Amino acid sequence: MIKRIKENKDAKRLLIYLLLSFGLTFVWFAIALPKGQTWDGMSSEKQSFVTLGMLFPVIAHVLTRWITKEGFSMTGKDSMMLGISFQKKKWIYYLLAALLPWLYMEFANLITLLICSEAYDPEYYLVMGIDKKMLPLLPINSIVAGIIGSIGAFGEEGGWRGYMMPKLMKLMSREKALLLGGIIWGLWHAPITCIGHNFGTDYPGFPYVGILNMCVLCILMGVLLTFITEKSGSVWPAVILHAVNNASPSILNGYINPDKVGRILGTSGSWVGMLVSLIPVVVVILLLWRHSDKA
Amino acid sequence: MSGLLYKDFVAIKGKRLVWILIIATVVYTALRMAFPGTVYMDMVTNDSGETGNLIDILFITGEFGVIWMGGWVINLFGLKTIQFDEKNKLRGYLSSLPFDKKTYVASKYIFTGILAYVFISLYLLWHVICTAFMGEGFIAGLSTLIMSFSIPFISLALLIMAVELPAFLIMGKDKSNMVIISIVMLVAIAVLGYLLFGDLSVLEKINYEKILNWLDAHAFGMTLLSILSPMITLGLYYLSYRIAAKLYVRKEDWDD
Repeated sequence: MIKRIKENKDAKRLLIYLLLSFGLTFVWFAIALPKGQTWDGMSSEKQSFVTLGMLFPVIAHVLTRWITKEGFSMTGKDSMMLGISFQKKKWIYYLLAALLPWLYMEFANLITLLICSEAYDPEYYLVMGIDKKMLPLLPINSIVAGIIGSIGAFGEEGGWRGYMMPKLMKLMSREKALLLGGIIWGLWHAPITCIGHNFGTDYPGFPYVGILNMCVLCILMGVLLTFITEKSGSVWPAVILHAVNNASPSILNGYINPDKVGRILGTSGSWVGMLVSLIPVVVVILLLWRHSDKA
Repeated sequence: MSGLLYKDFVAIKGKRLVWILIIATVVYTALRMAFPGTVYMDMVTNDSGETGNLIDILFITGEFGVIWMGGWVINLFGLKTIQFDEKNKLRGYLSSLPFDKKTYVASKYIFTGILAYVFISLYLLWHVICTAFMGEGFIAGLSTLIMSFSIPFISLALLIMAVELPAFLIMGKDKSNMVIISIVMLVAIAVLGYLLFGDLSVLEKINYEKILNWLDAHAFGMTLLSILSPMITLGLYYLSYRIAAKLYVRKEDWDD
Protein backbone atom coordinates (compact mmCIF):
# COMPACT_ATOMS: atom_id res chain seq x y z
CA MET A 1 0.00 0.00 0.00
CA ILE A 2 2.75 2.49 1.06
CA LYS A 3 4.78 1.46 -1.98
CA ARG A 4 1.78 2.09 -4.25
CA ILE A 5 1.27 5.55 -2.74
CA LYS A 6 4.97 6.34 -3.17
CA GLU A 7 4.81 5.33 -6.84
CA ASN A 8 1.66 7.29 -7.61
CA LYS A 9 2.24 11.05 -7.80
CA ASP A 10 -1.42 11.97 -7.26
CA ALA A 11 -1.76 9.64 -4.26
CA LYS A 12 1.34 11.18 -2.71
CA ARG A 13 0.02 14.70 -3.26
CA LEU A 14 -3.37 13.75 -1.84
CA LEU A 15 -1.72 12.29 1.23
CA ILE A 16 0.26 15.49 1.79
CA TYR A 17 -2.96 17.50 1.41
CA LEU A 18 -4.88 15.35 3.88
CA LEU A 19 -2.07 15.44 6.45
CA LEU A 20 -1.93 19.23 6.22
CA SER A 21 -5.70 19.70 6.19
CA PHE A 22 -6.35 17.42 9.18
CA GLY A 23 -3.19 18.48 11.02
CA LEU A 24 -3.74 22.23 10.77
CA THR A 25 -7.46 22.01 11.58
CA PHE A 26 -6.98 19.74 14.58
CA VAL A 27 -4.22 22.02 15.93
CA TRP A 28 -6.63 24.96 15.48
CA PHE A 29 -9.38 23.13 17.35
CA ALA A 30 -6.91 22.31 20.14
CA ILE A 31 -6.10 26.02 20.46
CA ALA A 32 -9.57 27.50 19.90
CA LEU A 33 -11.86 25.05 21.69
CA PRO A 34 -12.42 26.11 25.30
CA LYS A 35 -11.38 23.15 27.48
CA GLY A 36 -14.22 21.03 28.81
CA GLN A 37 -16.96 23.05 27.11
CA THR A 38 -19.70 21.67 24.88
CA TRP A 39 -20.88 23.31 21.66
CA ASP A 40 -24.19 24.40 23.20
CA GLY A 41 -22.38 25.71 26.27
CA MET A 42 -20.37 28.17 24.18
CA SER A 43 -21.52 31.65 23.21
CA SER A 44 -22.43 32.11 19.52
CA GLU A 45 -19.37 34.37 19.18
CA LYS A 46 -17.07 31.60 20.47
CA GLN A 47 -18.79 29.10 18.14
CA SER A 48 -18.06 31.39 15.17
CA PHE A 49 -14.43 31.64 16.29
CA VAL A 50 -14.06 27.86 16.48
CA THR A 51 -15.59 27.46 13.01
CA LEU A 52 -12.76 29.54 11.56
CA GLY A 53 -11.19 26.08 11.33
CA MET A 54 -13.20 25.87 8.10
CA LEU A 55 -10.46 27.92 6.45
CA PHE A 56 -7.75 25.28 6.82
CA PRO A 57 -8.70 22.96 3.91
CA VAL A 58 -8.08 25.77 1.41
CA ILE A 59 -4.90 26.80 3.26
CA ALA A 60 -3.79 23.14 3.06
CA HIS A 61 -4.60 23.19 -0.67
CA VAL A 62 -2.34 26.22 -1.26
CA LEU A 63 0.46 24.75 0.91
CA THR A 64 0.24 21.38 -0.88
CA ARG A 65 0.58 23.04 -4.29
CA TRP A 66 3.53 25.03 -2.97
CA ILE A 67 5.23 21.90 -1.56
CA THR A 68 4.54 19.71 -4.59
CA LYS A 69 5.28 22.54 -7.07
CA GLU A 70 2.01 21.87 -8.90
CA GLY A 71 1.53 25.55 -9.74
CA PHE A 72 -1.36 27.85 -8.96
CA SER A 73 -3.31 28.05 -12.21
CA MET A 74 -6.83 29.35 -11.64
CA THR A 75 -8.65 27.59 -14.48
CA GLY A 76 -8.30 24.51 -16.66
CA LYS A 77 -7.04 20.98 -16.04
CA ASP A 78 -5.47 20.34 -12.61
CA SER A 79 -6.14 23.95 -11.66
CA MET A 80 -7.44 25.44 -8.41
CA MET A 81 -10.83 25.82 -10.19
CA LEU A 82 -11.28 29.41 -9.07
CA GLY A 83 -12.45 30.76 -12.41
CA ILE A 84 -16.05 31.74 -13.11
CA SER A 85 -17.72 31.09 -16.45
CA PHE A 86 -21.38 31.51 -17.35
CA GLN A 87 -20.89 30.21 -20.88
CA LYS A 88 -22.59 27.01 -22.13
CA LYS A 89 -25.44 27.60 -19.64
CA LYS A 90 -23.11 27.18 -16.67
CA TRP A 91 -24.98 29.99 -14.89
CA ILE A 92 -27.64 27.35 -14.13
CA TYR A 93 -25.29 25.77 -11.56
CA TYR A 94 -24.87 29.09 -9.74
CA LEU A 95 -28.64 29.55 -9.61
CA LEU A 96 -29.10 25.95 -8.52
CA ALA A 97 -26.49 26.43 -5.78
CA ALA A 98 -28.38 29.41 -4.37
CA LEU A 99 -31.87 27.90 -4.55
CA LEU A 100 -31.48 24.16 -4.03
CA PRO A 101 -30.68 24.37 -0.27
CA TRP A 102 -33.91 26.35 0.24
CA LEU A 103 -35.86 23.57 -1.47
CA TYR A 104 -34.39 20.64 0.46
CA MET A 105 -34.26 22.52 3.79
CA GLU A 106 -37.97 23.31 3.54
CA PHE A 107 -38.66 19.67 2.70
CA ALA A 108 -36.40 18.49 5.54
CA ASN A 109 -38.25 20.71 8.03
CA LEU A 110 -41.58 19.43 6.75
CA ILE A 111 -40.48 15.85 7.36
CA THR A 112 -39.14 16.82 10.81
CA LEU A 113 -42.57 18.25 11.65
CA LEU A 114 -44.31 15.12 10.37
CA ILE A 115 -42.19 12.76 12.47
CA CYS A 116 -41.81 15.05 15.51
CA SER A 117 -45.09 16.95 15.68
CA GLU A 118 -44.30 18.01 19.27
CA ALA A 119 -41.62 20.33 17.85
CA TYR A 120 -44.29 22.47 16.14
CA ASP A 121 -44.48 25.87 17.77
CA PRO A 122 -46.81 28.29 15.92
CA GLU A 123 -45.01 31.30 17.41
CA TYR A 124 -41.40 30.13 17.50
CA TYR A 125 -40.45 32.95 15.09
CA LEU A 126 -41.03 35.35 18.00
CA VAL A 127 -38.30 33.54 19.95
CA MET A 128 -36.08 34.07 16.91
CA GLY A 129 -36.92 37.78 17.10
CA ILE A 130 -38.73 37.82 13.76
CA ASP A 131 -42.06 39.44 12.95
CA LYS A 132 -44.62 37.14 11.25
CA LYS A 133 -44.74 39.41 8.19
CA MET A 134 -40.96 38.98 7.80
CA LEU A 135 -41.06 35.17 7.76
CA PRO A 136 -41.36 34.83 3.96
CA LEU A 137 -38.17 36.89 3.70
CA LEU A 138 -36.21 34.48 5.88
CA PRO A 139 -34.93 32.26 3.02
CA ILE A 140 -33.97 35.24 0.83
CA ASN A 141 -32.17 36.77 3.79
CA SER A 142 -30.32 33.50 4.41
CA ILE A 143 -29.36 33.21 0.74
CA VAL A 144 -28.04 36.79 0.51
CA ALA A 145 -26.31 36.69 3.91
CA GLY A 146 -24.90 33.22 3.13
CA ILE A 147 -23.37 34.37 -0.15
CA ILE A 148 -21.91 37.58 1.32
CA GLY A 149 -20.43 35.69 4.28
CA SER A 150 -19.25 32.73 2.23
CA ILE A 151 -15.60 32.95 3.26
CA GLY A 152 -15.93 29.93 5.60
CA ALA A 153 -17.57 27.83 2.90
CA PHE A 154 -14.83 28.91 0.49
CA GLY A 155 -12.31 27.67 3.05
CA GLU A 156 -13.80 24.18 2.97
CA GLU A 157 -14.83 23.89 -0.68
CA GLY A 158 -11.56 25.38 -1.94
CA GLY A 159 -9.89 22.36 -0.33
CA TRP A 160 -12.35 19.47 -0.54
CA ARG A 161 -13.84 20.17 -3.95
CA GLY A 162 -10.91 22.19 -5.27
CA TYR A 163 -8.22 19.60 -4.51
CA MET A 164 -9.29 16.41 -2.75
CA MET A 165 -12.16 15.30 -5.02
CA PRO A 166 -10.33 15.80 -8.37
CA LYS A 167 -7.39 13.82 -6.97
CA LEU A 168 -9.63 11.03 -5.61
CA MET A 169 -11.47 10.80 -8.94
CA LYS A 170 -8.13 10.34 -10.67
CA LEU A 171 -7.24 7.49 -8.33
CA MET A 172 -10.53 5.56 -8.34
CA SER A 173 -14.01 5.36 -9.86
CA ARG A 174 -16.38 8.28 -9.26
CA GLU A 175 -18.66 6.26 -6.96
CA LYS A 176 -15.76 5.13 -4.77
CA ALA A 177 -14.32 8.67 -4.73
CA LEU A 178 -17.65 10.17 -3.62
CA LEU A 179 -17.96 7.60 -0.86
CA LEU A 180 -14.38 7.94 0.39
CA GLY A 181 -14.42 11.73 -0.01
CA GLY A 182 -17.58 11.96 2.10
CA ILE A 183 -16.10 9.78 4.84
CA ILE A 184 -12.87 11.84 4.94
CA TRP A 185 -14.88 15.06 5.07
CA GLY A 186 -17.10 13.65 7.83
CA LEU A 187 -14.11 12.50 9.90
CA TRP A 188 -12.55 15.95 9.55
CA HIS A 189 -15.57 17.29 11.51
CA ALA A 190 -14.95 14.76 14.33
CA PRO A 191 -13.42 17.16 16.92
CA ILE A 192 -16.46 19.45 16.88
CA THR A 193 -18.90 16.53 16.60
CA CYS A 194 -17.30 15.22 19.81
CA ILE A 195 -18.25 18.43 21.65
CA GLY A 196 -21.83 18.35 20.34
CA HIS A 197 -21.83 20.32 17.08
CA ASN A 198 -24.86 19.39 14.90
CA PHE A 199 -26.09 16.47 17.04
CA GLY A 200 -25.61 17.56 20.66
CA THR A 201 -24.03 15.34 23.31
CA ASP A 202 -27.08 13.64 24.73
CA TYR A 203 -27.67 10.68 22.42
CA PRO A 204 -26.99 6.97 22.57
CA GLY A 205 -23.58 6.04 21.21
CA PHE A 206 -22.16 9.55 21.69
CA PRO A 207 -19.87 10.59 20.00
CA TYR A 208 -19.34 7.67 17.58
CA VAL A 209 -22.90 7.66 16.24
CA GLY A 210 -22.58 11.43 15.69
CA ILE A 211 -19.36 10.98 13.72
CA LEU A 212 -21.03 8.24 11.65
CA ASN A 213 -24.07 10.47 11.04
CA MET A 214 -21.78 13.29 9.95
CA CYS A 215 -20.02 10.96 7.50
CA VAL A 216 -23.38 9.96 5.97
CA LEU A 217 -24.43 13.61 5.68
CA CYS A 218 -21.07 14.52 4.12
CA ILE A 219 -21.35 11.70 1.57
CA LEU A 220 -24.77 12.98 0.47
CA MET A 221 -23.73 16.65 0.45
CA GLY A 222 -20.47 15.66 -1.24
CA VAL A 223 -22.39 14.19 -4.21
CA LEU A 224 -24.26 17.48 -4.67
CA LEU A 225 -21.19 19.68 -4.26
CA THR A 226 -18.91 17.56 -6.47
CA PHE A 227 -21.56 17.42 -9.20
CA ILE A 228 -21.93 21.20 -9.48
CA THR A 229 -18.16 21.71 -9.20
CA GLU A 230 -17.49 19.27 -12.03
CA LYS A 231 -20.27 20.58 -14.26
CA SER A 232 -19.42 24.26 -13.75
CA GLY A 233 -15.65 23.73 -13.74
CA SER A 234 -15.43 25.99 -10.70
CA VAL A 235 -15.57 25.67 -6.92
CA TRP A 236 -17.71 28.82 -6.61
CA PRO A 237 -21.13 27.16 -7.08
CA ALA A 238 -20.11 24.66 -4.36
CA VAL A 239 -19.06 27.58 -2.14
CA ILE A 240 -22.46 29.22 -2.66
CA LEU A 241 -24.37 25.97 -2.02
CA HIS A 242 -22.37 25.21 1.11
CA ALA A 243 -22.74 28.78 2.44
CA VAL A 244 -26.48 28.93 1.78
CA ASN A 245 -26.91 25.45 3.28
CA ASN A 246 -25.13 26.59 6.45
CA ALA A 247 -27.33 29.70 6.62
CA SER A 248 -30.33 27.30 6.76
CA PRO A 249 -32.82 28.99 4.42
CA SER A 250 -36.31 27.87 5.41
CA ILE A 251 -39.57 29.57 6.37
CA LEU A 252 -40.48 26.55 8.49
CA ASN A 253 -37.52 27.34 10.80
CA GLY A 254 -39.89 29.89 12.31
CA TYR A 255 -42.30 27.13 13.38
CA ILE A 256 -39.91 24.49 14.74
CA ASN A 257 -38.59 24.58 18.27
CA PRO A 258 -35.26 22.72 17.94
CA ASP A 259 -35.22 21.94 21.67
CA LYS A 260 -38.43 19.91 21.30
CA VAL A 261 -37.35 17.87 18.28
CA GLY A 262 -37.44 14.27 19.45
CA ARG A 263 -35.35 11.27 18.50
CA ILE A 264 -36.12 8.65 15.88
CA LEU A 265 -34.25 5.38 16.45
CA GLY A 266 -31.92 7.26 18.77
CA THR A 267 -31.11 9.93 16.19
CA SER A 268 -32.26 13.55 16.05
CA GLY A 269 -35.52 14.01 14.12
CA SER A 270 -34.11 17.00 12.21
CA TRP A 271 -31.17 14.91 11.03
CA VAL A 272 -33.62 12.22 9.79
CA GLY A 273 -35.57 14.98 8.01
CA MET A 274 -32.40 16.24 6.33
CA LEU A 275 -31.40 12.71 5.31
CA VAL A 276 -34.81 11.91 3.81
CA SER A 277 -34.90 15.20 1.87
CA LEU A 278 -31.35 14.84 0.55
CA ILE A 279 -31.65 11.24 -0.69
CA PRO A 280 -34.03 12.02 -3.61
CA VAL A 281 -31.88 15.02 -4.63
CA VAL A 282 -28.77 12.81 -4.63
CA VAL A 283 -30.54 10.07 -6.63
CA VAL A 284 -31.63 12.61 -9.27
CA ILE A 285 -28.07 13.98 -9.46
CA LEU A 286 -26.51 10.54 -9.83
CA LEU A 287 -28.98 9.75 -12.63
CA LEU A 288 -28.21 13.08 -14.33
CA TRP A 289 -24.50 12.34 -14.05
CA ARG A 290 -24.89 8.89 -15.56
CA HIS A 291 -27.09 10.33 -18.31
CA SER A 292 -24.55 13.02 -19.18
CA ASP A 293 -21.74 10.41 -19.19
CA LYS A 294 -23.62 8.37 -21.78
CA ALA A 295 -24.34 11.47 -23.87
CA MET B 1 -9.63 36.68 -18.69
CA SER B 2 -7.48 35.12 -15.96
CA GLY B 3 -4.40 36.63 -17.65
CA LEU B 4 -5.96 40.10 -17.51
CA LEU B 5 -6.87 39.63 -13.86
CA TYR B 6 -3.33 38.48 -13.06
CA LYS B 7 -1.95 41.59 -14.81
CA ASP B 8 -4.16 43.76 -12.56
CA PHE B 9 -3.01 41.74 -9.53
CA VAL B 10 0.59 42.55 -10.46
CA ALA B 11 -0.31 46.21 -11.10
CA ILE B 12 -1.50 46.68 -7.52
CA LYS B 13 1.47 44.68 -6.16
CA GLY B 14 -1.02 42.03 -5.10
CA LYS B 15 1.47 39.56 -3.62
CA ARG B 16 2.73 42.18 -1.18
CA LEU B 17 -0.86 43.13 -0.29
CA VAL B 18 -1.81 39.48 0.32
CA TRP B 19 1.16 38.96 2.65
CA ILE B 20 0.41 42.19 4.52
CA LEU B 21 -3.22 41.11 5.04
CA ILE B 22 -2.26 37.58 6.13
CA ILE B 23 0.37 38.79 8.60
CA ALA B 24 -1.97 41.50 9.94
CA THR B 25 -4.71 38.89 10.49
CA VAL B 26 -2.38 36.46 12.26
CA VAL B 27 -1.01 39.24 14.48
CA TYR B 28 -4.53 40.53 15.21
CA THR B 29 -5.68 37.00 16.17
CA ALA B 30 -2.66 36.39 18.41
CA LEU B 31 -3.03 39.78 20.13
CA ARG B 32 -6.77 39.33 20.62
CA MET B 33 -6.24 35.90 22.17
CA ALA B 34 -3.52 37.32 24.42
CA PHE B 35 -5.60 40.35 25.42
CA PRO B 36 -9.27 39.33 25.67
CA GLY B 37 -11.95 41.73 26.91
CA THR B 38 -11.89 39.99 30.27
CA VAL B 39 -8.37 41.33 30.90
CA TYR B 40 -8.83 44.53 32.85
CA MET B 41 -7.26 47.55 31.21
CA ASP B 42 -9.28 50.70 31.76
CA MET B 43 -13.04 51.12 31.88
CA VAL B 44 -14.86 53.74 29.83
CA THR B 45 -18.45 54.88 30.37
CA ASN B 46 -20.94 55.93 27.69
CA ASP B 47 -23.76 58.52 27.96
CA SER B 48 -26.17 55.92 29.34
CA GLY B 49 -23.78 55.10 32.16
CA GLU B 50 -22.86 51.66 30.76
CA THR B 51 -19.23 50.65 31.07
CA GLY B 52 -16.91 48.92 28.65
CA ASN B 53 -13.31 47.76 28.56
CA LEU B 54 -10.87 50.05 26.73
CA ILE B 55 -9.06 47.03 25.34
CA ASP B 56 -12.24 46.04 23.47
CA ILE B 57 -12.42 49.52 21.98
CA LEU B 58 -8.84 49.18 20.75
CA PHE B 59 -9.65 45.92 18.94
CA ILE B 60 -12.93 47.27 17.54
CA THR B 61 -10.91 50.11 16.03
CA GLY B 62 -8.89 47.47 14.18
CA GLU B 63 -12.07 45.79 12.98
CA PHE B 64 -13.47 49.14 11.82
CA GLY B 65 -10.13 49.91 10.19
CA VAL B 66 -10.49 46.88 7.89
CA ILE B 67 -13.87 47.93 6.55
CA TRP B 68 -12.76 51.56 6.18
CA MET B 69 -9.59 50.46 4.42
CA GLY B 70 -11.71 48.12 2.26
CA GLY B 71 -13.76 50.99 0.87
CA TRP B 72 -10.61 53.00 0.24
CA VAL B 73 -8.65 50.10 -1.32
CA ILE B 74 -11.52 49.14 -3.65
CA ASN B 75 -11.57 52.66 -5.03
CA LEU B 76 -7.84 53.28 -5.12
CA PHE B 77 -6.69 49.92 -6.46
CA GLY B 78 -9.64 49.48 -8.81
CA LEU B 79 -8.68 52.70 -10.58
CA LYS B 80 -4.94 52.07 -10.26
CA THR B 81 -5.25 49.12 -12.65
CA ILE B 82 -6.60 51.44 -15.37
CA GLN B 83 -3.88 54.03 -14.67
CA PHE B 84 -1.29 51.23 -14.86
CA ASP B 85 -2.52 50.27 -18.37
CA GLU B 86 -2.57 53.92 -19.41
CA LYS B 87 0.92 54.65 -18.06
CA ASN B 88 2.49 51.57 -19.63
CA LYS B 89 0.54 52.02 -22.88
CA LEU B 90 -0.81 48.48 -22.50
CA ARG B 91 -4.15 48.96 -24.21
CA GLY B 92 -2.62 48.98 -27.68
CA TYR B 93 -0.69 45.81 -26.88
CA LEU B 94 -3.74 44.16 -25.29
CA SER B 95 -5.84 44.88 -28.40
CA SER B 96 -3.50 42.61 -30.38
CA LEU B 97 -4.25 39.68 -28.07
CA PRO B 98 -7.08 37.21 -28.76
CA PHE B 99 -9.86 38.69 -26.60
CA ASP B 100 -12.40 41.37 -27.34
CA LYS B 101 -12.65 44.86 -25.86
CA LYS B 102 -15.64 43.90 -23.75
CA THR B 103 -13.49 41.30 -21.97
CA TYR B 104 -11.01 44.03 -21.06
CA VAL B 105 -13.79 46.16 -19.53
CA ALA B 106 -15.26 43.09 -17.78
CA SER B 107 -11.85 42.30 -16.24
CA LYS B 108 -11.80 45.72 -14.54
CA TYR B 109 -15.28 45.22 -13.09
CA ILE B 110 -14.52 41.65 -11.96
CA PHE B 111 -11.23 42.71 -10.37
CA THR B 112 -12.97 45.46 -8.39
CA GLY B 113 -15.69 42.95 -7.42
CA ILE B 114 -13.02 40.51 -6.18
CA LEU B 115 -11.48 43.30 -4.07
CA ALA B 116 -14.90 43.97 -2.53
CA TYR B 117 -15.39 40.25 -1.74
CA VAL B 118 -11.90 39.98 -0.23
CA PHE B 119 -12.41 42.97 2.05
CA ILE B 120 -15.91 42.04 3.19
CA SER B 121 -14.60 38.52 3.96
CA LEU B 122 -11.59 39.90 5.78
CA TYR B 123 -13.82 42.22 7.79
CA LEU B 124 -16.11 39.30 8.78
CA LEU B 125 -13.02 37.35 9.84
CA TRP B 126 -11.75 40.18 12.05
CA HIS B 127 -15.26 40.71 13.43
CA VAL B 128 -15.46 37.04 14.49
CA ILE B 129 -11.98 37.21 16.07
CA CYS B 130 -12.78 40.45 17.89
CA THR B 131 -16.21 39.47 19.28
CA ALA B 132 -15.10 35.98 20.38
CA PHE B 133 -13.03 37.57 23.15
CA MET B 134 -15.29 40.50 23.95
CA GLY B 135 -15.75 41.45 27.59
CA GLU B 136 -19.00 42.54 29.16
CA GLY B 137 -20.37 46.04 28.56
CA PHE B 138 -21.70 48.26 25.80
CA ILE B 139 -18.85 47.61 23.34
CA ALA B 140 -20.51 44.47 21.92
CA GLY B 141 -23.42 46.64 20.75
CA LEU B 142 -20.93 48.98 19.10
CA SER B 143 -19.39 46.07 17.21
CA THR B 144 -22.83 44.96 15.98
CA LEU B 145 -23.53 48.52 14.86
CA ILE B 146 -20.30 48.64 12.85
CA MET B 147 -21.20 45.29 11.32
CA SER B 148 -24.63 46.53 10.22
CA PHE B 149 -22.87 49.34 8.35
CA SER B 150 -20.26 47.12 6.70
CA ILE B 151 -22.40 45.83 3.80
CA PRO B 152 -23.92 49.26 2.94
CA PHE B 153 -20.41 50.76 3.15
CA ILE B 154 -18.89 48.25 0.71
CA SER B 155 -22.03 48.56 -1.47
CA LEU B 156 -21.49 52.32 -1.58
CA ALA B 157 -17.85 51.80 -2.55
CA LEU B 158 -19.00 49.55 -5.41
CA LEU B 159 -21.62 52.10 -6.51
CA ILE B 160 -18.97 54.84 -6.59
CA MET B 161 -16.84 52.52 -8.70
CA ALA B 162 -19.83 51.93 -10.99
CA VAL B 163 -19.56 55.64 -11.84
CA GLU B 164 -15.77 56.03 -11.76
CA LEU B 165 -14.80 52.94 -13.77
CA PRO B 166 -16.63 53.99 -16.97
CA ALA B 167 -15.31 57.52 -16.57
CA PHE B 168 -11.68 56.33 -16.22
CA LEU B 169 -12.02 53.81 -19.04
CA ILE B 170 -13.50 56.24 -21.51
CA MET B 171 -12.02 59.63 -20.62
CA GLY B 172 -8.72 58.53 -19.11
CA LYS B 173 -7.27 59.39 -15.71
CA ASP B 174 -6.71 63.15 -16.01
CA LYS B 175 -10.00 64.11 -17.62
CA SER B 176 -12.12 61.92 -15.32
CA ASN B 177 -10.32 63.20 -12.23
CA MET B 178 -11.12 66.72 -13.40
CA VAL B 179 -14.78 65.87 -14.02
CA ILE B 180 -15.17 64.08 -10.67
CA ILE B 181 -13.51 66.90 -8.73
CA SER B 182 -15.70 69.44 -10.58
CA ILE B 183 -18.87 67.53 -9.65
CA VAL B 184 -17.81 67.22 -6.00
CA MET B 185 -16.93 70.94 -5.90
CA LEU B 186 -20.28 71.87 -7.47
CA VAL B 187 -22.16 69.83 -4.86
CA ALA B 188 -20.06 71.31 -2.06
CA ILE B 189 -20.69 74.85 -3.34
CA ALA B 190 -24.43 74.14 -3.65
CA VAL B 191 -24.60 72.85 -0.06
CA LEU B 192 -22.52 75.76 1.24
CA GLY B 193 -24.70 78.23 -0.71
CA TYR B 194 -27.84 76.73 0.76
CA LEU B 195 -26.41 76.86 4.28
CA LEU B 196 -25.44 80.52 3.81
CA PHE B 197 -28.42 81.92 1.90
CA GLY B 198 -31.12 79.21 1.95
CA ASP B 199 -34.18 78.87 4.14
CA LEU B 200 -32.88 76.76 7.04
CA SER B 201 -36.26 76.73 8.77
CA VAL B 202 -37.18 73.89 6.36
CA LEU B 203 -34.78 71.65 8.28
CA GLU B 204 -36.43 72.57 11.56
CA LYS B 205 -39.86 71.67 10.16
CA ILE B 206 -38.82 68.08 9.49
CA ASN B 207 -40.84 65.88 11.81
CA TYR B 208 -38.51 63.07 12.80
CA GLU B 209 -41.23 61.30 14.72
CA LYS B 210 -43.34 61.21 11.58
CA ILE B 211 -40.41 59.72 9.65
CA LEU B 212 -39.83 57.08 12.34
CA ASN B 213 -43.55 56.24 12.34
CA TRP B 214 -43.50 55.94 8.58
CA LEU B 215 -40.47 53.64 8.76
CA ASP B 216 -42.26 51.59 11.41
CA ALA B 217 -45.38 51.27 9.28
CA HIS B 218 -43.31 50.22 6.28
CA ALA B 219 -40.99 47.89 8.21
CA PHE B 220 -41.64 45.03 5.78
CA GLY B 221 -40.64 47.11 2.78
CA MET B 222 -37.60 48.50 4.57
CA THR B 223 -36.42 45.02 5.60
CA LEU B 224 -36.97 43.79 2.06
CA LEU B 225 -34.95 46.75 0.79
CA SER B 226 -32.10 46.07 3.20
CA ILE B 227 -32.04 42.39 2.20
CA LEU B 228 -32.18 43.23 -1.47
CA SER B 229 -29.72 46.14 -1.31
CA PRO B 230 -26.66 43.98 -2.12
CA MET B 231 -28.59 42.54 -5.08
CA ILE B 232 -29.66 46.04 -6.19
CA THR B 233 -26.03 47.18 -5.93
CA LEU B 234 -24.90 44.23 -8.02
CA GLY B 235 -27.65 44.98 -10.57
CA LEU B 236 -26.53 48.61 -10.89
CA TYR B 237 -22.89 47.52 -11.04
CA TYR B 238 -23.72 45.14 -13.90
CA LEU B 239 -25.69 47.88 -15.67
CA SER B 240 -22.67 50.15 -15.35
CA TYR B 241 -20.52 47.41 -16.93
CA ARG B 242 -22.91 47.09 -19.88
CA ILE B 243 -22.88 50.84 -20.49
CA ALA B 244 -19.09 51.08 -20.02
CA ALA B 245 -18.48 48.15 -22.39
CA LYS B 246 -20.68 49.70 -25.08
CA LEU B 247 -19.06 53.13 -24.80
CA TYR B 248 -15.53 51.69 -24.58
CA VAL B 249 -15.99 49.56 -27.71
CA ARG B 250 -17.40 52.59 -29.59
CA LYS B 251 -14.49 54.78 -28.43
CA GLU B 252 -11.82 52.23 -29.36
CA ASP B 253 -13.42 51.60 -32.77
CA TRP B 254 -13.43 55.37 -33.34
CA ASP B 255 -9.75 55.61 -32.31
CA ASP B 256 -8.85 52.69 -34.63
